Amino acid sequence: MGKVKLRLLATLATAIGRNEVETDASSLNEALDALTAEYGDKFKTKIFDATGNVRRQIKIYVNGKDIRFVNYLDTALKDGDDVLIIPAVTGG
Amino acid sequence: MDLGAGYTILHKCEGLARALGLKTLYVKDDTVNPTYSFKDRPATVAVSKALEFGAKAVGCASTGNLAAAVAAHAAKAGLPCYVFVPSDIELNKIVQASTYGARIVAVKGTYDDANRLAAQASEVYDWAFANINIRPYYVEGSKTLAFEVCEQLGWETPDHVIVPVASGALLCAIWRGLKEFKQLNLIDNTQIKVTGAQPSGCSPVVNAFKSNTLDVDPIEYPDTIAKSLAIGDPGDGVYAVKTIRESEGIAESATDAEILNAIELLAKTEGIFAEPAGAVTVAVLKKLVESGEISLDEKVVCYVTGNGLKATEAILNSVPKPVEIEPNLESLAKIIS
Repeated sequence: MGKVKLRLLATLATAIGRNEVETDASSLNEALDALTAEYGDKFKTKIFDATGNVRRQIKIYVNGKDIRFVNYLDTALKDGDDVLIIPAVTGG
Repeated sequence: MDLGAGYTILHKCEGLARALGLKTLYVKDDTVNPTYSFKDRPATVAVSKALEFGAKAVGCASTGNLAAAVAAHAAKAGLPCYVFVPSDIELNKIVQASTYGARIVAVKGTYDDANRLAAQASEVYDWAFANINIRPYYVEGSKTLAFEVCEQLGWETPDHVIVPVASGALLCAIWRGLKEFKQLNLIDNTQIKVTGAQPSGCSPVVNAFKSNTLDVDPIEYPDTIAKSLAIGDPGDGVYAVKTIRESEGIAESATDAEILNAIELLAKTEGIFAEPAGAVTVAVLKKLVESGEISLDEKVVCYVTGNGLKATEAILNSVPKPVEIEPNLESLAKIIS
């Protein structure tokens, strides 16, 4: 369990009224659960679809690494880790 | 903000068609735009909207072509420009964007790393990023590639178009353009197959299409000479797969060797010098004709989207070295025979 920083961009930051949140978590799942507990559906429904999967246009990075190349939602977190969530289509 | 993008030539390619065994083949030659790629089309819209919104600067994440296009239009508009590129970008593309006055931010890592950083920067700085916070407008510019082909074919439609795929935005824009022309009754039908072409070293959309899924798994480390298509995590990937299926098209990839062969074939039969990302459509067309997935009587349009002069280092090793001779006719005669 460590203190991690989550940074949120664009509509996600607007939805919860903050672009940076700190929480205690030992995995990405725990960190997202903590934010869901604090901000409710306005956070949860923007991250997850009805089946509980991360929405296709949500990109999550831990210390700059796409979680799909690590352990997805089970990616381990430690003190000082940086989680970035981008809820938008970009690039190309 | 207009530098003259678009309305490029639609070549009727009899030589290339003959080489491939096709009856009717056209190449939409976007190698001849103001900055030598199709990216001038979305860039002209993006920079115009940036001016309208009063942005203090413009920017983009780019594999190179968009950097040059945005930088040129920003120069004309008198706006500062910041382009985020992967640090292994082709030298020619940096030279081009730099000369237009852009600040080049060479990000260690892949295009996807550069894109992620640019997305973060768009939250911090009051800049209009062409393919991030201006993206809904930017993508509209590429629809002109559909509009022009219909007009240049005398308001007829092709049976099949082949489009390079990086983010997937271009392919989706072409399909939207065709559907809008149908809605306006400017064309009779949209029974047009839209096929996506990717390099084998970065083909997440092809992989998803062939796996019959909408889950476009990202490629962590793209490895291809077609650097303009080296987007491992395509923003519009899922929509590209949907579009290809809806239009009953195909998604196929080509190896670097096949792409180099296609560059040579296109150059030698039609006099068009394409970068690897542009010639990938010809490489994929050749494969699909040989496999029988494209029939010989289909009227095909290949979109060739970038100029070979932008990527000479990728092509240099595949062309013959010049033969050095003494400056006399005897020496010349020896090599001519």
